[in-house]
Amino acid sequence: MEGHELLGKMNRVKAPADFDERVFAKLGEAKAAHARRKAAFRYAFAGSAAVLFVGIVLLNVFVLNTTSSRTLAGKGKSDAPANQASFSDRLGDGGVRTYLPVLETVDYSNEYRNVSNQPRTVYILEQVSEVRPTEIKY
Amino acid sequence: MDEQALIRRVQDGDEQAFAQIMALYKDRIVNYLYQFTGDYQKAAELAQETFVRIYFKADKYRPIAPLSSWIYTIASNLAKTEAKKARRMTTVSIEDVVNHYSAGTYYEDPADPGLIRNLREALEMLHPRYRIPVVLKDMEGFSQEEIARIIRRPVGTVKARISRGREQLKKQLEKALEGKAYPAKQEVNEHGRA
Repeated sequence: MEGHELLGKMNRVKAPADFDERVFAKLGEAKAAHARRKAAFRYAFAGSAAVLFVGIVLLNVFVLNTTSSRTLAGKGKSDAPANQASFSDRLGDGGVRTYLPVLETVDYSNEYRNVSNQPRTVYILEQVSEVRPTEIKY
Repeated sequence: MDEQALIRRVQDGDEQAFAQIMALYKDRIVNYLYQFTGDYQKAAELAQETFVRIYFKADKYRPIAPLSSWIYTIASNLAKTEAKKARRMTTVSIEDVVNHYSAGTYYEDPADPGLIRNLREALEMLHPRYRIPVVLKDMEGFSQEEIARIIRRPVGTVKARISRGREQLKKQLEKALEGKAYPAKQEVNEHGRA
């Protein structure tokens, strides 16, 4: 008789008498653990969402506002002191460079021409050369 | 009530239906795991874990396959994981060895205890890749198609594994009958070499 034919004739065993009780006990433990994991996950999720929200708020207040002030060089005088606060840049090597923005306010009121009938027109006169052209006489 | 109706009730969290499924399958699963592991205590523990998983994973069951295939798949996966763990273990305490034998690992057949013992040792030496299909086929009576569904492999692969497993079993038994000593706990690897 082949070995595999003998396998079918081998003794069969049965589950122990307290099998069901043990399974239900394990089931109770697993359910409790499952409920604990679920609660922990819920708290972790809420905590992560809160941290993310605070992070976004801080990012908005401290980084995004500061970044926008760099582009305010041309703003009026009233804005200048507020924009004088120092801000910093992250360098490629991980260091931080701090600097003060220097804002030059330019008064264009002297540039208005009286002859102009367009009150809001601003002419920016740029001096090209101080040498006056002279006539060439032959 | 048929099994499909029972599992649908388990999916809704019905513990009575779960108890009925357990009553239907516990002996078969404990026996299957015992034939696989050769250790009754371990088999009972794995069977308990199998039923806990059945309860929690019931919603994953789809009625495209018989419930028995799904239950045996869970049991087989647990058994394979246990076999991997056992292979990684290099030391065994003497207490465990004593328990191993006192727990009735080898059920002796009054007719020919030696043969049954040899057969069990030969079975334990088979790689799980071959042992699972052989046990499912020759001891649990599943068809090749059902085994393919349980171990999630093509029918051709199942046929080949059953054939190779039986061949290795036969060789081991012949060795034993010739009086050759078994190499101590040497397992035949997946390529059929010791």
